[in-house]
Amino acid sequence: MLGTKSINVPQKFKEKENYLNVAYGLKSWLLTTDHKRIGILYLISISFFFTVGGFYAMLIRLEMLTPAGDLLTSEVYNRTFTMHGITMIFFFLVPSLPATLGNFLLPMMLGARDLAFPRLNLASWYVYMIGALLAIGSAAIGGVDTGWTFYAPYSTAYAGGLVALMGIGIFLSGFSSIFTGINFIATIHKMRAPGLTWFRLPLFVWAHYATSIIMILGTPVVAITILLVAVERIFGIGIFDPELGGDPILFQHLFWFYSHPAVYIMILPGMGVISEVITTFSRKRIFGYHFVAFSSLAIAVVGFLVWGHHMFVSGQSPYAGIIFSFLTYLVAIPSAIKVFNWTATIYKGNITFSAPMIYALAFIGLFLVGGLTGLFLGAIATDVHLTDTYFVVAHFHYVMVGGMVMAYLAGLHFWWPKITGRMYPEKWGIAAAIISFFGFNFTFFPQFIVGYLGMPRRYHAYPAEFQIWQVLSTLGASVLLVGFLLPFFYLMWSLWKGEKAPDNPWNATGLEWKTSSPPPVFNFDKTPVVTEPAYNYPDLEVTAAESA
Amino acid sequence: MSVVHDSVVAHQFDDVEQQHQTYSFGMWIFLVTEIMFFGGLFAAYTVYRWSFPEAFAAGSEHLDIVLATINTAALLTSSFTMALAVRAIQLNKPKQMIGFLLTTIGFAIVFLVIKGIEYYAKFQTHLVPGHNFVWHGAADPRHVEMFYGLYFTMTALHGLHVLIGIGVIATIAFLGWKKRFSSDFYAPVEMTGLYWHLVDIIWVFLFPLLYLVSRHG
Amino acid sequence: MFDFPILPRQASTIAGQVDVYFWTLVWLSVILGGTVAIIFLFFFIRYRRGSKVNRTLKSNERRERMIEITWTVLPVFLAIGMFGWSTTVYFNMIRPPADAMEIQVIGKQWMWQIQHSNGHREINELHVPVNQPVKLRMISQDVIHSFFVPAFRIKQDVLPGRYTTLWFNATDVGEYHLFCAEYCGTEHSQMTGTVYVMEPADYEAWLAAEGGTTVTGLEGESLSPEASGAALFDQLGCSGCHKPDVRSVGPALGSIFGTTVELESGEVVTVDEEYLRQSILLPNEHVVKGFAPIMPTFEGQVTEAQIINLIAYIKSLKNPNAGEAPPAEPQPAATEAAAPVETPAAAAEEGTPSAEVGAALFAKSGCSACHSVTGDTLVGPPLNGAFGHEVELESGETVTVDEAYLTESIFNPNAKVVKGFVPAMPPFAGMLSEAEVANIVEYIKSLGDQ
Repeated sequence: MLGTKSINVPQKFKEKENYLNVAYGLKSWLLTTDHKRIGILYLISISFFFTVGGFYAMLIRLEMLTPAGDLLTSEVYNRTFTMHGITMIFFFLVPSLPATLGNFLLPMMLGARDLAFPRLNLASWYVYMIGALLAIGSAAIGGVDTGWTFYAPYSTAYAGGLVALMGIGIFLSGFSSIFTGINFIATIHKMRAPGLTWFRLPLFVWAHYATSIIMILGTPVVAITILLVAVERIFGIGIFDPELGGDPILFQHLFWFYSHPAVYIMILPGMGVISEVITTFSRKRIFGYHFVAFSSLAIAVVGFLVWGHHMFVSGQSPYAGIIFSFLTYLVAIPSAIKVFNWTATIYKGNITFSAPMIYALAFIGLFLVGGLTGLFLGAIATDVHLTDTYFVVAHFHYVMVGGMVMAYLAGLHFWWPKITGRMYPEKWGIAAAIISFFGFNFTFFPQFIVGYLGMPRRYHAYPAEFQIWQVLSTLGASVLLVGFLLPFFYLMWSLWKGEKAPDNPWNATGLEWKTSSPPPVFNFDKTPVVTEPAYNYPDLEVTAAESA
Repeated sequence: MSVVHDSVVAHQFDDVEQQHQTYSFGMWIFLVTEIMFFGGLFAAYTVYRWSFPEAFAAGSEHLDIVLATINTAALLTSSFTMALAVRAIQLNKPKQMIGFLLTTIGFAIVFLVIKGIEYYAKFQTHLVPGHNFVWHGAADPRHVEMFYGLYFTMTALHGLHVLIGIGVIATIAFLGWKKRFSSDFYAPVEMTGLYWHLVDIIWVFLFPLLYLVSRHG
Repeated sequence: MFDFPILPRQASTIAGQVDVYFWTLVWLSVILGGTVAIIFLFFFIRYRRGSKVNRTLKSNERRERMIEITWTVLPVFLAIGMFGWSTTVYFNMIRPPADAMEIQVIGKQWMWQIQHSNGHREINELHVPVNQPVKLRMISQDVIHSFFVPAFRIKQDVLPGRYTTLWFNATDVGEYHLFCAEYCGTEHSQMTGTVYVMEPADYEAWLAAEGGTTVTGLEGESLSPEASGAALFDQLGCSGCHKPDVRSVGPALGSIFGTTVELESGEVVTVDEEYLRQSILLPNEHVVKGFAPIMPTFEGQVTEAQIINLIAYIKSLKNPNAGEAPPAEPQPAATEAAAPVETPAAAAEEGTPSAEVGAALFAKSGCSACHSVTGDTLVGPPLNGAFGHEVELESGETVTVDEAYLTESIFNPNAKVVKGFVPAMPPFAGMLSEAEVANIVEYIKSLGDQ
């Protein structure tokens, strides 16, 4: 851990020592405490689970081509959409950006040698893997059909399958979130480089700070909820059982108390990436740094107050519903502010159409739709009609896939040179971004329409008049599939054949670019001292004049 | 501040002061997560107690308040001995620290044993929710069963934390015996102390909520 | 596949309001969101690297802050406005008009069971008249379901354990989809049905006709919910403790619906469907003041449909001793039935205790419901010949049944319970005066062996 090992480096690797070539072998990876290697471990894992979740998605889309439930039996279909949700949310989206890019970059952006608790970091990957494998394993031997929301009393008293086992898997991997959150908060508070004040931090760091707050406050609540479901199934202690006077709506309150803030865990890091990408590729400082930073915190705080908007028709008090609706409208405002600020940032910028920038452009468009359709659902008058229909499915895919996954890909491309020391093929990157954008809209926009028409979600057999929209959606999904597969192939290709990356291929500001690509084991040869504000790009007229 | 071995400071920290502060800070954040975790149970308890006051009072009456009071005293005392352990190592007295840590473990074991006795008694009197449960009193049996469901879930989860705490304190005591701690480096002892105090505070809330529902004056 | 609608039909009074809101929000989103998107794209292209445009930025911190504040505050106002409008529509959605006709809905895996007020039942179909407010009272037999009619723009989760309600006023004759909208297990996709909105005349004809199933009596005759409930009421033994007109072991149920009662806890509740249902299934949590928590639960013995019929029957019961009961006002009728009715109390206040007066009190106070005077063992021990004898108590103690023991047993019955009986007798402390109790004791004394 301390110092570097001297090993026999094969001749062909005549490069400077970095975190990748300092040691080889499975043990050096599986027992690493280097935050960068742990970030790579996560990268591999979440890519794997994204594929698993994507496989379930393909099954769903194929089944939905016809109005009859003919490809899959009801039982199997119900398990399919359940596993799609569980895998994508708990084992892909929640960890994705923070555990990969966050782990990798946070210490570097802070000028630190590692996170505050490196061994806790490794533990977080292990609990994540064990939990996720347990869950996927239980799916393989039968799984569950409760939906990822596993509402009581269906999940506690009626569902067959391996609810408790699946729950334990999710419970375990929840600790990964908690450990990561603790690590990030402690690191950001205590390990910033000299001169790196809070308001000089990159917005990526602010975004992860807000995300971490949500992780540590929210995850324990879903953990206890899962535990109570498991306890009811195993020991018969019915906290949610109406036969004992229990209230199934209490389940919903406890569940959504985490699961709503969870969606902000899933989007805030992406917004942090967008701030970095847009500033770099417009060569301009962010417009309204303080507003963007505080908007992340506002989303985290207000995000804990709106969970009841998932429960407008649940039988909760109408007055509670009205309060939740009001707060939901308010929580939209900070997100809107971010979009306005990004737009103002590129004004009079000097914009490069790189792959990350195209992904960021796609993000803006798709996040606008996703965020605005959230208002339809925050207004009770329309939510009564739209809740539990395909409209909701379309809404959350727009923000989570159109938003988060696009931002994740933007970030992955942006920092790929730093992480791997290789450039990805630019044209393929842009092509993939464009194909994904069109494929995505094609897949999910028809779902708004069929949702408004009244098609409920989680149906695999449906009235024939809805079929046209489902067919369009499946066609779009096949395009989206291509868009998502492409990066997998060309990024892997770049590991062997990609152009060697310089320290700072984008000429970006930020401490991570001041060290080599890939970085040395302890990130910096010397701890940097920060004297400038964030995004301190030189004035553009000067640059333009110099380049003329 | 005296000279410290470099090996005491982990590579990511600049000095032992930063390390100590960061460890403490991290521990506090973890404690917040524990509060949120138990918070869900307290929320469920609040909802049902508000709905079924008589049943909760009736159920609570059948809990053994004598044993629980002894337990409360044991746990509070153990928190005291834990604090004394931290104090001891702050004064660079590792042997004294180990003594206090072992005393803390002793009280914790007493707590768990008494808990076990209570659980066994509940089993004998058919107050364990599920097939075992039988209730003849005035209040609605199903709501009393709900009370006992919460009783067992909350105290079992707390007991699990006590058990884990015993393991952690024992490990710290062992490391102390291996001369790992001194007044220059004792952050793990302090972190353990914080954890133990949280376990104690949770019990301080559980005790009146579960055992003192109907007992006035 | 190619015969498809793009927009849902509007078939209820609320649908129009919802749609106006929806389309306004659509246009606002398109205009505002579209504007932002277009501006972003415009900048994206205009300020691309290499384009020869003016990039001089007069950055002024104060101006920037004003811009920030403006585009924060304006959306807040817009948000509050849209929220306010939505809330108004929502209130219309949840407040049924007074003249709504009530229909009962039971959701269960994986079908909808619907019962009209005349007992007429349907499965997965709901026939209603057009232009008539309809209120659905719904409950689930098992898991959470959700009653969703897209054409009406209404939806409400259907819960196990308590009633939820939904109302609509259908404006267009036709057939409309009914969906279950809360995932409920394997055949969730199949838990669908049809709502038939009919002209009033057609609806009446349908209601009277053979279609649908109805509850039948023992001779095959169709029973209304009230009649079916009445039969159940006797069959399950409710009439043993609940009379329509007089306090017995349990409160009198005549004319009680819609009134308020005070509970043992001091809380005052309205006797509505939810309260009656709770009292049948979980009786001892909300006991009426002055009664003991001894009612057995009927959980597992009655289906939700049967509960609906019991409630219908109770609603129809009249108490001749009570006046017309105005709903939801503090109601003397309920307490009248529970309190001792007028007796020659004045005479009983002075002078010697009278067995005759005591007999009348014995009947009016409901003692005979549990205590036979002919030697039968009911809930309580028979009282004929009890006076002067010794009895063993639950505690093992032996006592003589004298005036003091009888008096104590009336005021504080569970202090000395006879062995083999449950501590179920309600205390009459505060309900009967000492003089009245003396009369009752006199009466009991007069009961020799028979």
